[in-house]
Amino acid sequence: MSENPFDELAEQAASGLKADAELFLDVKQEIKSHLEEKAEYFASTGCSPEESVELAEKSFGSPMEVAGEILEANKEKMKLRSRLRLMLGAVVVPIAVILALYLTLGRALVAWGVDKSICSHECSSTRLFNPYPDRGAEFRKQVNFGNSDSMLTYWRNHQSDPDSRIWYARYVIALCARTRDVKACEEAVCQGERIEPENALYNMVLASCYLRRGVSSRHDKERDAKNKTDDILSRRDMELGIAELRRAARKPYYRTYSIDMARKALETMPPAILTEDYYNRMTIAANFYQIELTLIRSMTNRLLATVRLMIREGRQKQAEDLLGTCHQLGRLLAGEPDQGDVALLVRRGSLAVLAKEGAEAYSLIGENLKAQRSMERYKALESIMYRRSEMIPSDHAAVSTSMLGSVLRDKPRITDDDLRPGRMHEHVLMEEAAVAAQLVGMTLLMLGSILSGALWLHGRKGEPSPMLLFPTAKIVLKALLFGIALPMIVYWIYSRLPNIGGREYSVWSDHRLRFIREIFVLWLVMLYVPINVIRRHIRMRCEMLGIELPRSREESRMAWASRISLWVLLCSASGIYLYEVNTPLIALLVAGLIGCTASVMSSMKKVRQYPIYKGTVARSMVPLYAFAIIFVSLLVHPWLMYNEAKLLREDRVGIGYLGKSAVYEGGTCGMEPMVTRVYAEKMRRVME
Amino acid sequence: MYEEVSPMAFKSELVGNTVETMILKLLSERAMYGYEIIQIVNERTNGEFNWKEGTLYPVLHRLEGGGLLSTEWQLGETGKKRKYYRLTSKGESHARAKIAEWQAFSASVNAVLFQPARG
Repeated sequence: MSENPFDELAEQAASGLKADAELFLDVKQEIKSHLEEKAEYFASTGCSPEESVELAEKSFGSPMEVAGEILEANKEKMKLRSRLRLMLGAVVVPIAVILALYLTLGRALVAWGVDKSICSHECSSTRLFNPYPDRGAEFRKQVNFGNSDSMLTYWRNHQSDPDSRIWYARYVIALCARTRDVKACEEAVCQGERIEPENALYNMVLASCYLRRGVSSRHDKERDAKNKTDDILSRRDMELGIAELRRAARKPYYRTYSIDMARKALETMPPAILTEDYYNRMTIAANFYQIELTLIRSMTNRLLATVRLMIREGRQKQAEDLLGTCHQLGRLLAGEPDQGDVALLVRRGSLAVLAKEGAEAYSLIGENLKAQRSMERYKALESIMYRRSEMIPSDHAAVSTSMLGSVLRDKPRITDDDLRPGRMHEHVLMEEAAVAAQLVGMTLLMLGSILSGALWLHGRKGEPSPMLLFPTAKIVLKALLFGIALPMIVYWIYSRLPNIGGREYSVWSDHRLRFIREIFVLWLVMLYVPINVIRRHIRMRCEMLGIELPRSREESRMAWASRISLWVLLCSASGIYLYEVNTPLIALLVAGLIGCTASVMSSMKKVRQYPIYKGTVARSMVPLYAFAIIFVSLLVHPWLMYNEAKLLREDRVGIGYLGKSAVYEGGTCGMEPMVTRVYAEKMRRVME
Repeated sequence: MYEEVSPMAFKSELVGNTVETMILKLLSERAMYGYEIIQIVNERTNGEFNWKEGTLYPVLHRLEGGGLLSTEWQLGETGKKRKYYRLTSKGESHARAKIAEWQAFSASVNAVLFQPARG
């Protein structure tokens, strides 16, 4: 039996609206409160309670007649609300999920594709905002990622080109790096020498083939190397290798044309827009150096192994001659003009190895002066190398090559202003990462709310608990404005104010932690405010509709217990991830986990009594998260991407180099020619 | 054959046709809840309308559905929950038009009923 005498009549009058739980409760409550007031009026005139109820019901009229009229009057409204609900479930939520996944996972996949392009011919570029077609895939496949046969075919088809020697050099480098067939290499090298008789490249790669068969080195890093000791595998091949190296050392120049090939490949690509496009171009350029560098490294190791073997056999004089040849070869390697940055770096490494181990070999044969000079050369080469430990945060940007240090430290040619776009770009990248994480987080929260709403709907011993419709557009807008947009605007203003927030960060500097702290605070506000706006509205609404509610203080205590334990859990997990595994953090993590579980269990037990309220709160968060995701995806994310593209265009120093699809004179970027020139000059000076 | 008409017991269709105008007029004075509207109508008409109160709500809901009224639940002074109706801007102009229409209509009807015939 119902406690309120008007429950039955009010329910009958509103019975036509049962399909819309909220509307039904709303009208039922309205009629009930009308009848109560009417009964009070009759009671005040001296009627007994029973008479008052009877008279109030009589003056209301037939509930069935009223029910029909109420249904008729609300038909359109019900239709509209049902359409709204359908649109929310079938359109807005899926759009929000798709947008969030597309912008976060989609871009992550593109970035992953850039990594993948190192070992495949697929050259990924962002397709999102890049309308330019990629017409160079086949070219890049043939000259960079294809096998040596396809490179030979390409050269044969382009023999009349002025650049045909570039294609032939590419073919020979690829062939000699990959095949064990020395005869094929000899033939290819002969043809190469006919094309370019003065280029030491061909003798160098052939020597590398011979030495690979003739000598094993203690520094051998090849995957199939069986014994990692200095040993003679074939004396004939070793001697042939040495002879070929001597021939190379007598030639006037060494050209690999890697940079030319990289430039030609980059010219075929659509314009770079976002960071992954620039990385992709860097990867493609680096790929052109990769095979050649494998050859150089292998040759350096075996050459030094040969010197050590000669000393072991007592052939000191020949070993000393070979060390002289090594130095000549080093000069050739350092002397190639117009090299790519990666090539320069690896050559510097090879020259340093030659110098260091050469010093050791000179000591073994008693040439202490030469050993000392070789060691000095090694130190000089090492000092060119840029060290991260020497980096001053304010002086660096997105330093993607270690070469920048050389120019930064010695010559004030790269200024703080030059580096600014790079630092700002890093900040924007971190903001994009935070937005991506936020989109994923909001998507999970939204899906969690849907699931939780569904559980509440059927969660009370199978008794369905009606759910109210999402809050009004005004409330969602209010929650979005104060809970999402306003905190973001405040963060934006703060992070861009000079001397207060600052906008220049570097992923390697301590600013990263400051950024993480700021973002965590922002997220906390964005999580707390909208939920509270919505919850307050729902509490009020439930109160009006006579729906059972937990006490505000009790609910607040439960919410804070969950929040604090979740916060401890998050902070300790991030601490472990960012710093190291240590006992206090693990203890905090365990405490957070226990707190989280305990507070969730206790909340569940308490709130089980309020299924309509809890279900409504859960489901009301769905449109909020959906619209927040759409807002962030369509406004914040594109704005950050626009800034990213703008800063990349402005940056001539960091990863902005290899800029656009344009190719710069003397390098593949604006700053690269200057950086590589300074660097190569230093190397040449050391080798003189 | 005609029914005998009592001047104090209005036909329901007569009331029905004017109830919208009356509600709009009352709500143009201030926001009100259903029971309050009925009270005021009864007060101003000395209870002559004698309508079934339940019929008020379909009219209110229809006006709300037409965008003429907006609603808001509020707690009254005595702690009672009441659903208040107020005119939207569309409702305000509609109320003015309805009142003007009624004035013109009643003036015409009065002219026919009460002005002496000429000549």
